[in-house]
Amino acid sequence: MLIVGTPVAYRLATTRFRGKTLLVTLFELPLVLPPAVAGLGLFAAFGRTGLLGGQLDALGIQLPFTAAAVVMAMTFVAGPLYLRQAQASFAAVDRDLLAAARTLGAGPWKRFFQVAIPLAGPGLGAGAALAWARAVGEFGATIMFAGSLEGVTQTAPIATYLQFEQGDFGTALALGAMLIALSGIVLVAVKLIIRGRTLRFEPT
Amino acid sequence: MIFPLRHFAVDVALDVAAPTALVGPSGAGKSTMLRLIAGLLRPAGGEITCNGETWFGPGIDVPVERRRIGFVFQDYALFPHKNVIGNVAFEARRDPDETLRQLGIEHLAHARTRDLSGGERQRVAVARALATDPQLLLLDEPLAALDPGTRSSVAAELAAVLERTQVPTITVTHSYEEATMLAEQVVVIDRGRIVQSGTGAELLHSPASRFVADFAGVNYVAGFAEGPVVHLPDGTLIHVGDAADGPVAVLVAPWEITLSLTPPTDTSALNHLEGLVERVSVQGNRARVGVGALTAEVTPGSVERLGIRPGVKVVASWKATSTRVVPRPDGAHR
Repeated sequence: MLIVGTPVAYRLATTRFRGKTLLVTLFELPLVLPPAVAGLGLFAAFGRTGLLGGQLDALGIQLPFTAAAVVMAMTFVAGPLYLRQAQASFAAVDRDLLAAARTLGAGPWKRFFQVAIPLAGPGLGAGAALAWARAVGEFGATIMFAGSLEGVTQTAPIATYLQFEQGDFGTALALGAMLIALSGIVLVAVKLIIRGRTLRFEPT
Repeated sequence: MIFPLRHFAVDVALDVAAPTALVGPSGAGKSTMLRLIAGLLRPAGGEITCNGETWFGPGIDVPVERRRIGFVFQDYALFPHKNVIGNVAFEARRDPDETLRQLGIEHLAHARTRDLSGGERQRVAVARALATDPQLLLLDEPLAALDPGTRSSVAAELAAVLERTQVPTITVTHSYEEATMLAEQVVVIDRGRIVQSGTGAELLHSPASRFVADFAGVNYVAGFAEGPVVHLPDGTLIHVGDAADGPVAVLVAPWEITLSLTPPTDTSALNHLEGLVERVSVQGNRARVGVGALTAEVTPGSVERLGIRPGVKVVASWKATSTRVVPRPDGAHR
């Protein structure tokens, strides 16, 4: 998600092209889609009878109800969150700094790695943390596309739900408490990162 | 080269041999020109060549990073995540430490950029640009980000640095004074066109238009010459040193004008114009007093002694030999 999402976000933030708004909207769609529908969509695309399912099957690849399916569902739903944040962070980098790097003779790679990434860094970190938290909490798309195989595709929120369903309130509560703690830690980390940025880069 | 803007197009032909300054009011297209030369903007047409190498032309557009230019941005655009030496070493072809030494800021090598003063930031920006060993140094309003108090001393230091480096420079500024300090050739630009170019003294001595005269800070009074006198549209007569005929402009330097409260009687000066003081601005040891269309430059002491303030009636006097007469190209209407 970071490896693909970061350069894409950079391109989206620094270039203008025809159909950009449409593309961004498309990327953001999973964010507003009900997760169950997102899972259904993934199933329709990659399931055995789905659009690409036949070709994948021929290659011996079966995605639904595997650990890979969990990752796909989480990336699909939480990825846009990171992309949005990363794009905003890159857009906030002073254009003159990138222009200055160009005038000094720095090529696109150097500008990306030595100017854009360090300056957008805190925002990228915050975006990644938020997306990760969203992924951990992912329920709807995962259960549709990956099911709930214990030890394979059963995620913590799904386990919480199932324990509750089975009447094991104590275990459900324990899992819930763990998720609350995790979310709390991520939120605090994000706030610290953002504060660190303002402390470091606020001009005099 | 040509570049369309919202209200006008930058359309200029310019040869740069000596250190050059582009001057003009805000929005004249100066910074746009600089960015076109740098390649940060793409002209709609025309040609840009440097040392015989075409940077832009039909089918040619050398990317910024290969133009070998140094660019000093108006707010200096120092990388906030690197210290001074990190900024200068970013793409250095020369020894960064040596470059810092040349600019007299070697002691700042490990300072964070946000801890620097305006003048120091400017030196770091110049050092960073020079460290890449550029063929051409472009400076966009290099003094605009400084407070007025330090501007003139920083300007003098910058002028000395530019002189030493021997790199051809193009400086954008909106001040005639800065332009003459930082460059030999001064190019006045208005609405995307070159109005006049020459040395600072040439512009001051024979401005091609009121615009240039205002810029150089010399009084420009349009009138109609008949021999040794010039008739102003309101009927006033001005005695001039050089006889002329036809539509002319009378030029008087502000420091040639003396002010008095009543018309002086025992003076050799032939020209006396009465008017109300419109504005008084004190800059250092000089006070500029606006009287009608004229600006006089006197000492702040005189302003105090005579009680000159807006609304007071004064007489502006100057000698006929202090005036110069130039033909008016926009001549016909008086």
